[in-house]
Amino acid sequence: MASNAASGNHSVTVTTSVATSNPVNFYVQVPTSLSIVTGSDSTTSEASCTTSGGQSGCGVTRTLKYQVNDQETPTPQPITVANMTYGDVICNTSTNQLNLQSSKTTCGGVTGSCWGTAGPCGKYTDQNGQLPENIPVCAPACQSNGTCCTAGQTVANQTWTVAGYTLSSDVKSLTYQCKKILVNGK
Amino acid sequence: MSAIVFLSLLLFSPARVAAQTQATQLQAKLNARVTQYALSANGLADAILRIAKQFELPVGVEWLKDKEALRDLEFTWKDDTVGGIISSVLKKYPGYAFRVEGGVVHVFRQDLVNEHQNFLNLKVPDFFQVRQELGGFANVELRGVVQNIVSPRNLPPGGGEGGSYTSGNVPEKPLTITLRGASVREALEMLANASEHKMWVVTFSDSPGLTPTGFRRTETLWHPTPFPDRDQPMWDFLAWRDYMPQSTPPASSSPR
Repeated sequence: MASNAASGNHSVTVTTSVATSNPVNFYVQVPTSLSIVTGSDSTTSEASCTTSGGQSGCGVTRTLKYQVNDQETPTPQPITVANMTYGDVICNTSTNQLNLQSSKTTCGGVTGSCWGTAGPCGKYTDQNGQLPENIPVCAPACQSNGTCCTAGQTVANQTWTVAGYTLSSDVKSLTYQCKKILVNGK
Repeated sequence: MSAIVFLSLLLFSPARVAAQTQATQLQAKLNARVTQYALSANGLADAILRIAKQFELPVGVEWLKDKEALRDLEFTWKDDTVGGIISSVLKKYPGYAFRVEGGVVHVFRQDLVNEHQNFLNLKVPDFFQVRQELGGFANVELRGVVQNIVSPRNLPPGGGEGGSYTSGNVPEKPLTITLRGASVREALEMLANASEHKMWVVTFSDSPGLTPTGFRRTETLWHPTPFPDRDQPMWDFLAWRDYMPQSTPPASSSPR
């Protein structure tokens, strides 16, 4: 089976000089979506922070773990494979009440007007096909007179590429708020 | 009396004792004898990183990616020390040397290490702190701070930051480090020492020209061309298990 074989079922037989075996189905999984691993999700309390430019602000960090899933419908199945490479690209939308002006990404760099590159860049999934994710926000807008506060939200789109496959059908919507960060509204 | 107590506290502080222990352990690794070792590498950085991964050495590499440093290396050693292996590799790449400092094996090009065009000699701003953060995330934050010096973003006042950090398949524990007064090089050494990411690599581009602010441009192992000026500088910060040479693009000279 070629490493770049098309997704889905492939019938494989083994032929020798004597006989040909019965066909056996091989199911080729292709990274298609990411789901949050149950119990891996937490968010820090809002606290003061400093931007890379030295400005004081407030924010939180959400920590979770993603499972890489395949193309199976209606229920995607986990791809439990270690050492899949990955990268992400984050693009701001027109909603930017927190005035976020830059974004950290897995691989750094830029893609067009967005932050990040598809990779690879030396980051790999673990043996379960999972990757840990930390989503921080630090915004001066979340601080008023030295006290942490609320200040609306910023919405960005995050596109992951796993093992060379861009997960374009599962672009994550990141909603940054001063006290929490939502992924796809949750 | 109080001076003696203070000196005792300084000499036997947990951080200092830990640093001394790490230095002793590193020296023991470098002195360890190796019965036989064969290395096939695609240039200087690849050779050092393969050795570091094999013998679990914390290393910092700052190199210029030119034709000389990209020469392939095939070598076999018998009954040598790990330190001797590194020395004989560096003899194949004239101009490079190594020394043990800050608990890491620091490999550098002698004519670049102290020059002011080398961003590693910048001082880390006092506002930058590492408090209960994952080592890899602290490195990303340090990179953002240094990029703001080398490539000033001129962001409007009140500009915030969001994003994503992922530690890959390396389990990380939060750490707290004081970096006040340290150079960027020293900060990377401290992060490598304290975190699970034991190897940092600064790859200076062979392309002519400096950034508008007068610094050498950089690439990374996975991004074999200089990054745009707004993302300068970049570097690699790896755990031993992260270094898989087969997954990096073939090293070649920077396009001129």
